[in-house]
Amino acid sequence: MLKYRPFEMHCHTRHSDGTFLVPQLIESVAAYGYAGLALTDHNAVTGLLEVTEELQRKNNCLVLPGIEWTTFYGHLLVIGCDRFVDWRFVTPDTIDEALQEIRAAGGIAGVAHPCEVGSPLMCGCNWEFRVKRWDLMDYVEIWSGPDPHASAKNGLAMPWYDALLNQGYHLAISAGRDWHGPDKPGQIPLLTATYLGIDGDVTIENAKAAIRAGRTYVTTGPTVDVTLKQENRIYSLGQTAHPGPASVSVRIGMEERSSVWAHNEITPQSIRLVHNGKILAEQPYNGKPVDFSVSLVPGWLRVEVYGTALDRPADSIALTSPIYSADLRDE
Amino acid sequence: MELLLDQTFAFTLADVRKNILVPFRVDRDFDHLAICLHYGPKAIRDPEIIMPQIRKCVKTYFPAGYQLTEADMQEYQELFNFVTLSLDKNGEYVGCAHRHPPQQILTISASGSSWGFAPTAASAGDWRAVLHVQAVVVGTVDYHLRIYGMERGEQDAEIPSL
Repeated sequence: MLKYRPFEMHCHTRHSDGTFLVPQLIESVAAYGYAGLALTDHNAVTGLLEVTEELQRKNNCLVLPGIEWTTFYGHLLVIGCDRFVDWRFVTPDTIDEALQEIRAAGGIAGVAHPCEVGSPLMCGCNWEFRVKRWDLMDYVEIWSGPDPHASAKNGLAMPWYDALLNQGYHLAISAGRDWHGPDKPGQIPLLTATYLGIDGDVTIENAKAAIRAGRTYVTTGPTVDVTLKQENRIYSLGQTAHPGPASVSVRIGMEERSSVWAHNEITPQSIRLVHNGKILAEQPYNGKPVDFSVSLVPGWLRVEVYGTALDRPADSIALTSPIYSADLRDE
Repeated sequence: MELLLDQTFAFTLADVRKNILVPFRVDRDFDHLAICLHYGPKAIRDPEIIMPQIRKCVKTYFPAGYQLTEADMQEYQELFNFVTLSLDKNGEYVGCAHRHPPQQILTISASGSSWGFAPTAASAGDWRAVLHVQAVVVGTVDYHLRIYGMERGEQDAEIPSL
């Protein structure tokens, strides 16, 4: 059975430049109600040697084995390879070969904070790789940091990502706190979560499958349930429907993990459908499921939830990976 | 302890984004390797040097028309030279020290290695350090690398300082 589960997708420990011990990270992630985390130390996988079955079971927290390729030309999140793939000598023009190696090793790859400031302020953090085979990329970290609207990089990442979707690529989205150390006791900051649509048990392979299939959404708290009905079929995130009439149903949930986000006064106010980069429809949110009747053309459709968080004006508080639409002949 | 490698480098802006290969041969087995590195200067705080670079960054990476805020100015009071080190043995990746302290002693042994490095026997073989020159803000970064083969019971404290 498919169920969306919250993950923290970008974490560091003392195995690179974080201050977390590995058990401390897992406990901290579990304390915030996540079902799992991606351990993505900079250029190091040795933290995984400390991840035991008992530690995961005790904290009810799955650890996805990952690494953040921290290169001169951008940072790449790599999860679930069955062998080490060398990050050190990749160049802007050999990135496609590296992505092929990652895929051959059973891994998935995602662009970390693509529009982060680059050198010399933030060495290598800006994405400069010249990817030609975007079909080998699985996801884009569209929200980086604990607060998605606290810095310019995430505002720049959205049009950057949409431009890829507009070229026809299928890419899931993620949020990653880029978490390096413990929070002060008693202070829970504004947090994001990446919900993965996991089919079956919460396992590494099922989590990877969710990202590969595009079954993800990011949120500052509320859960989002999206279904698209067309003729007699129901489509969910990451799937491909057809051009033509469709009905889209969006349900917002305010309960799950609310103890870690409700204090940020996150209040959904409207739900927007974005189709190929343009607003297709928008309705106010009044606590009930919202239904849209729309007509699709080939491309992509994303659900965006707008509302207030903290004491700021309304901004996006949740975004989904797309549902796609394509002519039968394109499939 | 036996000195296996002692090498100095002078990195300039021309070296930024280069991987410097430093192969070394270990001819016999040791209890552990001690990889000692030191580089400097680390932080550059001279406003006349860093402000033009910060302004260039803002122009390149920030939204058009972005004006530096007081918070930005607080955050960007200094820029850092940054060189990281990774290691492999007989072609197998051992790990990486991706962290900022400009003076480090890294331990490699079968029973446990420093953060970021896999437990690996300090045995005979073809080893290679790779220096990743991430940032040189201005001028020259002087980098000193020494690698020792250490016997059982020998301590880091016995290593001559760089």
